[in-house]
Amino acid sequence: MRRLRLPRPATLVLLGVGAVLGPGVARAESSLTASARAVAHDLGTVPRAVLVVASPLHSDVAAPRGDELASRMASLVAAALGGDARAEDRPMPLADARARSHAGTLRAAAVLFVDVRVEGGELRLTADLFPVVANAWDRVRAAPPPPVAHAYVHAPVAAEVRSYLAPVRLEGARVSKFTHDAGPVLAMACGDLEGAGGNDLVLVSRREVVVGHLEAGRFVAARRAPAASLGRRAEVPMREPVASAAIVAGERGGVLYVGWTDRGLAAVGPDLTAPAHLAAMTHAASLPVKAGDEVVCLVPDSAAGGFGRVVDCEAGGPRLTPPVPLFDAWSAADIVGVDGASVRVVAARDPSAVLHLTRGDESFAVSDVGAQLAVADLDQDGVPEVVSTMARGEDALVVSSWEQGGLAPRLRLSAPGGVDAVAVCPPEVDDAPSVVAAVGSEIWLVR
Amino acid sequence: MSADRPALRPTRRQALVAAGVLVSQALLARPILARGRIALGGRLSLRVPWPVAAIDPHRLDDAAALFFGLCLFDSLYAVDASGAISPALAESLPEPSPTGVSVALREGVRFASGKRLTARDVSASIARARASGANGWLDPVGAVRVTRSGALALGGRAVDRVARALASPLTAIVPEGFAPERPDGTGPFAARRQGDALVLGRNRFAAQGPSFLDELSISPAADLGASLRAFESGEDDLGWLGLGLHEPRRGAVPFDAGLLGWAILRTGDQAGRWNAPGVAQRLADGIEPARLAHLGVRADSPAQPDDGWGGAPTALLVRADSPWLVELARAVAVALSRPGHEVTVSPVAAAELGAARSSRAYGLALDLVRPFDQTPLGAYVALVTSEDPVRGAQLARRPPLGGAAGTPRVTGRLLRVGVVADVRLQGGRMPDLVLPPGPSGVGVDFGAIVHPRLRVL
Repeated sequence: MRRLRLPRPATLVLLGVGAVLGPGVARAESSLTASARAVAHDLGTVPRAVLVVASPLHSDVAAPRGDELASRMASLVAAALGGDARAEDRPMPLADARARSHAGTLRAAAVLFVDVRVEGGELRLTADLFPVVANAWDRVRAAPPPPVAHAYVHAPVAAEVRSYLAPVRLEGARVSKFTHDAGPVLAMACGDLEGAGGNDLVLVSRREVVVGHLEAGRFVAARRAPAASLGRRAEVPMREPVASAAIVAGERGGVLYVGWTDRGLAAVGPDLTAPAHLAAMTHAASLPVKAGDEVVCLVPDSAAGGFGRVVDCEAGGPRLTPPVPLFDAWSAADIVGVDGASVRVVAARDPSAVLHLTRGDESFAVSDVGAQLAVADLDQDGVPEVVSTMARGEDALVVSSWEQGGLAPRLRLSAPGGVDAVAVCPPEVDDAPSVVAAVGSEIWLVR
Repeated sequence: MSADRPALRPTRRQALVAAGVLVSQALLARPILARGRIALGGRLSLRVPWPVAAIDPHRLDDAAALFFGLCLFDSLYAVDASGAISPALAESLPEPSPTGVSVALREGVRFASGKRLTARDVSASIARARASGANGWLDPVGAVRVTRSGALALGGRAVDRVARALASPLTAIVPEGFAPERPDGTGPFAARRQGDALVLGRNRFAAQGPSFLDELSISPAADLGASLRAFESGEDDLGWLGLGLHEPRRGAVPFDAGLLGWAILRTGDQAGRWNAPGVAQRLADGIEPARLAHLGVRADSPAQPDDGWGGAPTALLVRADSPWLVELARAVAVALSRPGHEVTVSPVAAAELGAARSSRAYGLALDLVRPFDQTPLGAYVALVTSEDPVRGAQLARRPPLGGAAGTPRVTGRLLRVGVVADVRLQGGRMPDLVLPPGPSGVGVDFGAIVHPRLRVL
């Protein structure tokens, strides 16, 4: 089984050798094309004249253009196979595909049947290569031959796939509220830390880190670790503590990065202990944040009351150039457009509550933005959403889309209790990312 | 008829409950504002009727340290409002060792001067605190030794008692060779002199985090009116003991950050037979609270009937550079004097008062005492030590039954010092200037003050 990561962009390769890049570099890569290439690669050698047929789309969300998506996958896989491979222009069941393979004048040497599914927020492709029985008598006498090659690929649903599905209406999002006993929450992270396929929720307070899940109206803690056991105290902390957390998922369990401005960075496994290979990361006092697939670290400048550098968490060298010299809140995400191109969006709030957004060469600033911040493509339309809070007055959780020319409000949830932290959860049982917010003694799940 | 009816005056408990309800209602009615970050910046200024030319965290009678010690200094441990102890300059609580306990210091901590904190600084600070009057209080700590590896080994074995002793502001950690005139510490501010003023700027190396304010300027007030005059005119941001000199500053509200120490009356050898345990406290208890009200002294209990000073005419020594104490001395002298038994205020230099205190060559003296911490034991040991450091050390080891549990005035009945008045941090402020309480629940955490013009964003 192979999980297809979002295309590893050229920028990340360059970053790996230490280059420092701007905050928003576009990368052209279609996730559908990449998925098709992965299928072709995993199948190995296939007969030259293969017929590629896609199944009708199985989807756990409404897919008004499902047949188009399936047919598109068939043609992309055929293109990836090269040679004389050709694609059937409409989806059909396997039995029909077998019949189709020896019908007509262009008889195929083999049929590649691609089962196309959209489930759990993923595009899942299962490809089986079947030989074609040329003799009609053999076809009648014997059972259909089993597949001779197999491939399975899955990839997160992004704007390119979402364009074939029913659109997500953020304006109609519902809020579910859960109580928690973690005390004042400084930061949250959401993702598959256990490696079990579902999302785990991490709450970070000044005193401890709690991993758990939401169930029956409350946050159920599975494991806790005192902050003192995770990171050494910082030489010069910020008087107002700030924390962050980021989960990097893995099939055998992910890694949780957590940091406080008054403690050093820690990288721990699902059991909240530091594996040996991550122990080197537990020294520098910095805040880990995700930037696309990677985790980078924000270095606090306690005397200035913010952060000024974005560095490699392990080596400490410069990693990204922030859009403003001093910022006190940060979020970044790689947003995949409907054309499959990926662009990094960075949001950084300066201490005067002005939010600076960058996307490629484009930039935009908006004032009076609160300190809780997240960027993601929540409706998977290729346009980034900014989740933020209020800088003054009664607090609220605000979701806006960064359209051309400015932020378009999509959702506003009044939060008189004050929003302490926000995070975005990857798609799970439903089809789109969700937002979690710590509001006093409650966790709000917005989806 | 109505004269026969008992007055419907609320009891103290009822008044406290009512005040609590009002405060909680006010808090409930207040909308909870957006959670932004606290903006750094701004400058505040105030004048105090106390000397600020030097600040010595280890002195029991240091007024500047009483009010502003937390701005500049940290101890190895800290006590919160619930009494819980947590590491401050130490990495963790003391660890038992074969010879006592060991204390690991936080790595990378620097004083405001940039000098790195070492175990030698801690050892020197403890020795200095002991020499300045904390010998009894530090008794549980035992011998202090810096190991070859630079660690700190203490002879004390009771982890809790060691940590509590080292959590006192009177055991703050300063660099070796510390000079009170050029104070250097790990607190949120770094000190510098500007004329007569003590100017506290943000300490970029602060071990608990640099201050939110850019600067806090503290000037000595020549008299009690100077601070109120400056506050009333808007020149200062805090008014000492009131809302204004001639009339309250418009919109100003009072604040009271709690009891920080005590003004004490001492009896010396020149008091003759009046130099006996309990006399000073009896004299202090006989002063009508109304006589001290203009100094912000609250009447916790009515005056006890007393005949005042009955010894030979004598001088009441007081530090000349402390206008508040001088004013208090005047009020005390008037209250105690009787015909033929006059008490005359004699303002003297701090050094002269110190010498008289050591030799006990005085009749009466008015002084200041800081508690070691907010517990009854902290008050008890401070008062006993202020009378006699040697006896203080002995009594600190074995407090008499009930002695440490009583109020400071009860303790004073055992001593040749008596509590005259509480010393409180109180006065006037504008409503938008919020004064966060100190970590232990009393005083003001000046490092956490947010300038009112820099709202939380």
